[in-house]
Amino acid sequence: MIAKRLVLLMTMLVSVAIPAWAHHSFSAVFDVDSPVEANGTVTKVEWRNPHAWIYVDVEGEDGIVVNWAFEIGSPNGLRRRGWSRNTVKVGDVISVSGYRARDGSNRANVASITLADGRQMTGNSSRYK
Amino acid sequence: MKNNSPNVLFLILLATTAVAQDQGGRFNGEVTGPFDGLVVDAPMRATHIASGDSWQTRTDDEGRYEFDGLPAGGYRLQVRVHGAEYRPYKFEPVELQKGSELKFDIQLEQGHQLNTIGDDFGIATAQILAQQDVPDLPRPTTADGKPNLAGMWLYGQDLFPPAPKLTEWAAKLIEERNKNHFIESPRFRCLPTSLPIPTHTPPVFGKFLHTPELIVILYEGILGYRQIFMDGRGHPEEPDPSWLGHSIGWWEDDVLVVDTTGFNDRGWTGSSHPRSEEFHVIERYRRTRYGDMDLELTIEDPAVYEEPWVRQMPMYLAPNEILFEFVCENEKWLSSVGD
Repeated sequence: MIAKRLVLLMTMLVSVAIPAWAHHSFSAVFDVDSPVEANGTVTKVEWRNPHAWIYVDVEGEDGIVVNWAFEIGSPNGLRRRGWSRNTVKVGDVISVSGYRARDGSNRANVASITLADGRQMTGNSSRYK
Repeated sequence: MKNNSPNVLFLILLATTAVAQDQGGRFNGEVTGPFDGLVVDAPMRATHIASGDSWQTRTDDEGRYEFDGLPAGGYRLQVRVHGAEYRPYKFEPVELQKGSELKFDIQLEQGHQLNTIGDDFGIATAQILAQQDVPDLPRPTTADGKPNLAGMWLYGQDLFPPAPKLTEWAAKLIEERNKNHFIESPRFRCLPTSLPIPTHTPPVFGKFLHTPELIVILYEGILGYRQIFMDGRGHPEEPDPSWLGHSIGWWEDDVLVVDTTGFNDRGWTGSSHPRSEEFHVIERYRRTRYGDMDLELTIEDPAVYEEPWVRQMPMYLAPNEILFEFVCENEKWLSSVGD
C-alpha cells in the first residue's frame, strides 16, 4: 500500500461565520486554525448522506502510516456536480486539503482534491472565470 | 434553451429610497476574488451613511459594478456573495464628492467556512441552473385557469435580505447559539429544518405536485414533504404542534397564498433563529414565466421578531433534475462535536 506524506499547517485565522445550508456547522466540527494537506491511498469510500467520507492511508513525516477520514459533501449534491460513487475508488492515490476536526482526531473536511487521474476540484472552483 | 443562467450580462440599479440627482456622483470598479479571478453577479449595496438611503446592484459578466446618481457624502460599501466562498465585505466610509466619479476596486477574501466540496449553496445553485433546459414559454395554467405550479423548483436566495428586527430574547439566544457553533441545532440530530425550504443540503429543491384541492411539495430532506390544503378548510383549533406546521392555501388573483401555523417551538429558522408556537409563515408564490417563480416569504413570531420579516426569494424551474433519496446518517461528525 502506498502511503505518502502529511503536512499539518497551523495558521492564525480568525473568522467564524455560519453558512445557512450546511447539514452541520463547519465551525462546530472542523477547526479553521488547523489546515491539513495530505496525500495517500484510498482505503474506503462511504457514499452516503448527508456527507460522503473518503478514508486515506497517509504517511506522516515520522514514517508512520495513519488512516484519515475526509469529509466531502452529500452524494446528492455531488452527483449533480458530476461525481459518482466511483469517482474516488479504493486504491486511488489522491491529494486533499481541508481542515482538521476540533477533537484532534484524524478527520478533516475536503476543501480541494486532486483525483487519481489528475483532475482537480475545489469548493471554490466554479465561480472564477 | 437556457433562460435562467445566473451569468447572463446584466446590471440592475435599484434606488430603494432615493432618486437619482442631477449632479449625482458615481462609484464604479471591479470585484475580484482572493486569487484575482473576477467575481460576477455579486450582490452589492452602497449605503449613504448620513441618511441611511441605500442602492443595490450586482456585478456584471466582467466583474464590474457601478452606482450612479448618488448624492455626495460618506458611503458604506458591502458585498455579500451567497454561499461560503467569500467572506462578506464591508468598507466605510468611502467619501464621494458632489458630481464626482470614484473608482473603487474590491478584492474579496476567501471564505473559510464550509468550503467543503459539494457543500456550497451558491456554487451548487449556479451549477444546477447552468445545466437546465428551460423552454422560453409563458406560465402554464390548470383547467380552472389558475397558474399551474407543478414542477421541480430550485430555490434561490434573497440577494438583498432585510435584517430581521429581533426581540431582545431572540437576539441574545442567537448570540449564544453562535458562540456554541450551533451544536444544539435540530439539524445536527437529523431533525427537520424549518420552512420555507426544509432541506438539509444544497442545492435546495421543492417538487410541486399540483391538484385543485391539494398541493404537495416534496423535498430532499426531513420530513420530505408538505401538504397544502386548497379545499377551503381552516387551521385546526387545537393543532398538535409540529415541525412543519399545518398549511392551507388559496388564490389571490394569480398568487398562491399559503398560510402555515401550528408549529412546535423546537425548530430553528435558518441556522440560528428560535421560534415559538406562535410562529406564523405566509408564502406568496407567483409563477411569472414557465421557468420562473417569485416567492415572497413573511415570517411572524412575537417572541422572536419585533415586526414581520419579509423576504423575496427567486425560484427557478429545474426540469432536468429529479429528487434523490435522502436519509440522514450523522454519527460520523457528531462524535467530533464533543460536549
